[in-house]
Amino acid sequence: MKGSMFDFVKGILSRAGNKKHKVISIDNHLSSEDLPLFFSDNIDRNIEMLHSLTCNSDDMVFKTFHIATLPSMKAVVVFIENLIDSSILETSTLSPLTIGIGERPLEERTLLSSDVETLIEKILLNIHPAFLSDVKQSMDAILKGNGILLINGYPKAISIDISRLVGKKYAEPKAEKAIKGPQEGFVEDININTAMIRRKIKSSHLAVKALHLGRESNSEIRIVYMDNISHSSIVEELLRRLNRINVDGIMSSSNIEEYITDAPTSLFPTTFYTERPDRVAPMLLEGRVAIICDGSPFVIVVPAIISDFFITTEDYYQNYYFSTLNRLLGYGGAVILAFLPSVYIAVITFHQEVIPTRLALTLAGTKAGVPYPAFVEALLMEVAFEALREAGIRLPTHLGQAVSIVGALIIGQAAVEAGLVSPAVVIVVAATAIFSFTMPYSNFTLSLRIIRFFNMALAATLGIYGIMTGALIIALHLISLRSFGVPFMVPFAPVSLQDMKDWILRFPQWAITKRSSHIIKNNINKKTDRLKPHSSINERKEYL
Amino acid sequence: MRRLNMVFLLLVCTLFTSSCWSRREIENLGFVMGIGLSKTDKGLYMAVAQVANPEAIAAEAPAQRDVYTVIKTEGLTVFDALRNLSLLAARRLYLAHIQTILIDESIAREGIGEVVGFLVQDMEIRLSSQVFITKTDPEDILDSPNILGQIPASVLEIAAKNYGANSKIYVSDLRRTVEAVNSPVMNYTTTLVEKIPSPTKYDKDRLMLTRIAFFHHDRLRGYLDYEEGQSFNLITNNFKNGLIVFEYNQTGDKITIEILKAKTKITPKYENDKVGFDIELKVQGNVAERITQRHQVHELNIKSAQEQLNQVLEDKLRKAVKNAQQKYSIDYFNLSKDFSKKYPKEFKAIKTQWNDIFSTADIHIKVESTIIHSALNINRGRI
Repeated sequence: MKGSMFDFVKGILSRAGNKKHKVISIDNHLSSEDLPLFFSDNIDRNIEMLHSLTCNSDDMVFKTFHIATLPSMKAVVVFIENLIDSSILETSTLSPLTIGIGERPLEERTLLSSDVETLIEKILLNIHPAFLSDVKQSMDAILKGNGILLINGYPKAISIDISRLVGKKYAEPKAEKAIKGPQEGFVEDININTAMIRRKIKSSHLAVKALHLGRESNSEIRIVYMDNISHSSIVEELLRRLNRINVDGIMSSSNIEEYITDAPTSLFPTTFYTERPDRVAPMLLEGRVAIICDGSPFVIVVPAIISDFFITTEDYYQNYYFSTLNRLLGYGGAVILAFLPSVYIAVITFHQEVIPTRLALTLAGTKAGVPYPAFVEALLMEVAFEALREAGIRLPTHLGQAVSIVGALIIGQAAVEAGLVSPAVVIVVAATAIFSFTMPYSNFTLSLRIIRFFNMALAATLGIYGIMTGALIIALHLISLRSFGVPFMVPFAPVSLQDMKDWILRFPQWAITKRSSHIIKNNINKKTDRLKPHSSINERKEYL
Repeated sequence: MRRLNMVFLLLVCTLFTSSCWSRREIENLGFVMGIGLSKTDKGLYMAVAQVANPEAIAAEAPAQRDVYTVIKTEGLTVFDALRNLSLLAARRLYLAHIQTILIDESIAREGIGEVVGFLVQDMEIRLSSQVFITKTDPEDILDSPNILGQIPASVLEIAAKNYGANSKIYVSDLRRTVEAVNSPVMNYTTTLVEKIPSPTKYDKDRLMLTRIAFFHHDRLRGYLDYEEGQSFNLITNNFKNGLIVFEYNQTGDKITIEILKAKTKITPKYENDKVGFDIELKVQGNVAERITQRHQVHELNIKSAQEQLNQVLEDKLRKAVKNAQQKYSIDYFNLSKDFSKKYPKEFKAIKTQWNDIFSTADIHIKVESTIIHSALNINRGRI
C-alpha cells in the first residue's frame, strides 16, 4: 500500500515534471533533424553516414558495383529490402550501368564518364532519376521505397524509383478482424513483414536488428523498435534474453515467447502477439519492441500489459464513445468469463438468501428434477462446451466457432429436456462462452478459461468465500507480474490516470497526447497539446 | 519458513470458520414464504408455515392452489413449534425468504416481545419481512388461493409495500417491530389483515389490510380505522400519497384532493413541568376530482379551497390526537422520540409514566396546504 502510494505520488510528480520540458523535448528532436547534412566526394564516408542515420538497421541493403565506364567508377545502390522490386533494379539500373555501358563504343564510354548527370539521365531515364545533395532528403526517398545511387567522386545521391507496387497480396488477418480498418495481416515471410512495418512508419529512427537463432534451424529473428522512443534497457534486456536461447530449432514466434517471458510458470502471458501491422506500428510508437520470426505470421510485442489484450485496432477506426463501451464490455466480459459459473454455483448451493425470492423459487423449480449437484452440472456443461469449441476449431472453415456455439446450445437443450442439467446452467455456460469470444487475443482468454474451472471448484467447496479467496490469489499474482520491468497491471496498479485514457477507456485521438511513462523514460509527448478541433467565431461567420 | 507455515495455518483456519460450510442444494430447500403464530386453548404455541412449491411456480401454467402448501404444528414454545414443522415437511425448511409474519391477536394481546425475539435470534429470517396481526387463525389467512396464482404471503407483502397509494394503513417490518419491542418507551403499531368474502360466487375470498393495530408497548390495545390511519401517517411522517375528500362549503361540490407531499414538523415543549407539542403539517396536493352539484360549471376558488383543506386536515388530526390522549391514553404516534431528543434529561425522569403525561400534554396542530394543480379547474377533465 505504502509502495503504491509512493509510486502514485511519484507518477504525479513526474507528470508535472514532463509538463515543464514538454515543448523543449519536441523542439530538440526537430532541430537535430533539421540540421542540413550534405554528401561528400568520398563514397565510403557517404555510406557510413547513411548507415548511422538508419540506426544500423539490418534490412538496409548497400549493393556495391562498378559502372563500366573507363576507368570504371565504384557505385553503391542503397535501398530497403522488400520495399523495392529487385527485378526492376536489375533491369533498369544494374544491367544498363554495367553491361549496357560496357557494350557501347570505347570513346562513348570514356566520354560519358566525364559528366555523371548526363550519363545517368540518359541511361536511367525510365526510373525518374533525381539528384539530391541533402542527406535527409535522400533518406526519405529510401524510406519511401526508392533506391539511392551513390557514385564515387560525385557529391550527390541519385534517387531512383524502383519501388515495389503495393497491391493487396498480403494475408487477411484471421483472428483480429476489422470491419473498417485495413485488411492486411502479416505473412510467413520475414522480409515482407518487415517491409509492412516500414511502410507504416517511414522513419529513419525505425531500427531493425537481425539475429539468427537455432543451431540447426538457423531461423532469422528481427527485432524492430523506435530508436528515439524505446527505452534502451528494454532493447538490451530483450537482446540478452534472445541471445540466451541456445536450442536446436525455432519454429515459430510462439517458441520464442516461452523463452523470453518474465513469468515462465504463470498462467498469464506477459508477451503480446498480433498479426496486424496496424497494431504493431502504434505500439512501436508507444516505445515497445516487436520481434518478427521468420516463418511465423505473428509478431511478438514486448513489454506487454494487461490492457493490450483488451484493445483491438477496430477501436481506433470507430467512434470513440462506442469504442469506450466496447473496451468496458471486454473488461466486464473477462470478469464474467472467470467468475460467472462459480458465482452461480456458490449462490445456488450456499447463499440462497441473496437470490431475489421469485428467482430463487424459479431456479429451485427448474432444478427440481436434476439429480446432480450444481457443481457437477456446471462442470458437465463447461466441459461439453470446451470439447465442442475445440472440435469447432478443427473444422475446415472458420465457421467452426459458430458451429461449436450452436452445438453447445443444442446439447444444452437436449440435456435440459432429458433432465440432466437445469436451464439456468445452460444460460450461464452460454453467457460465459459468448464472453470468451469477445476478446480478440486467445492467449489471455485461455488463462481465464482455466481460472474459471479453478474458481468453480472453490465455489463448490467454500461458496462466495472461496470465490473471494480465488479472486484475491489471482489479483495478487497479476499485480506481482512484470513484463520487461513494466508492471503488468498498468494502468490499474500502479494507478495511472494518464494511461487509462487510452488503455481502459478510449479517449478521442486529440486527447491522448502522451506516451506512458511506465514504458519509456524520455520523449513522452507524442502529440502537441490543443489538437481538439475548433472553429473560431470569425471562421464561423465566414462560412455563413 | 516458520512464518509462512503460520500464515498457511491461519488461512486454513479461516476456511473452517467461514460459516459457508454446509452445502445445500437449492432444490432440496423448502422455501417458507410466510409463517403464522397463534396459541391453542391449551396454551400451546401453534406454528403455520406456508411453503412454496417451486415446481408448480416454474411450470408454464401453474394451478392456483398448487403453488404453495400449508403445514401446521404445535409446540411448547415458538421454536419448538417451528422445529416440529420439520417432522411434517418433506424438505429442509428455509426461512431466509419469509415475506410475511402473521401474529394472532391472542398472542398480540399478551405481548409480542417473546415471539419476535426468537424470530430475530434465528438469524435466517430477514428483517425486511412484514409483520401483520390476524383476528382469525393464521392458517386461514395463509391458505387463501387467488385467481392470479400468487402465493398469499407475497400478496400480503405487495399490499403492504403499496400502502403509499392510500396511506390509510401502516405495516411495520420485522426491523421496526424489533426496534419497538426492545425500546422501553416505544409503542408498536402495525396492520390487521382480514379475509373478506369474494364479490361474486366465482371468485375467491380476498385478503385485505383493514385497520392499524396499535399496541401499548408490545401489547395489542385496539385498532384505528382508515380515517385515523391517515392521521396517524400524517403525524408520524409516513404519509406518501393519499386522497382527502371534503365538501366545498361555497358550492357544495365534492372535492378530492390528492396529497402529493406531506411533511410534519414536531416541536416538543417543556414549560413548567408541562409537556407540549407543536405539530406543523405542510401538505401539497392537487385537485384530483370534482363532483359538482347540479352540473354547474364554475371556477374553483383555490384559496378558499386551501383554507378549507387546512380546516379539514386540522380537524382530522385533532380528532386523532384526542382519541389517542383521552380514549386510549397511549402515545402510539411515538412523540416520545422527538421529546427525548430535545429534552433527554427531563425525559429520563418522566419516561416511566410517559403515556399518562402524553394524555394530558398540550398539543397544537397547524396545517398549511398548497394546491398546485389547476388542470381540472373549469373544464373538469372535459376536452
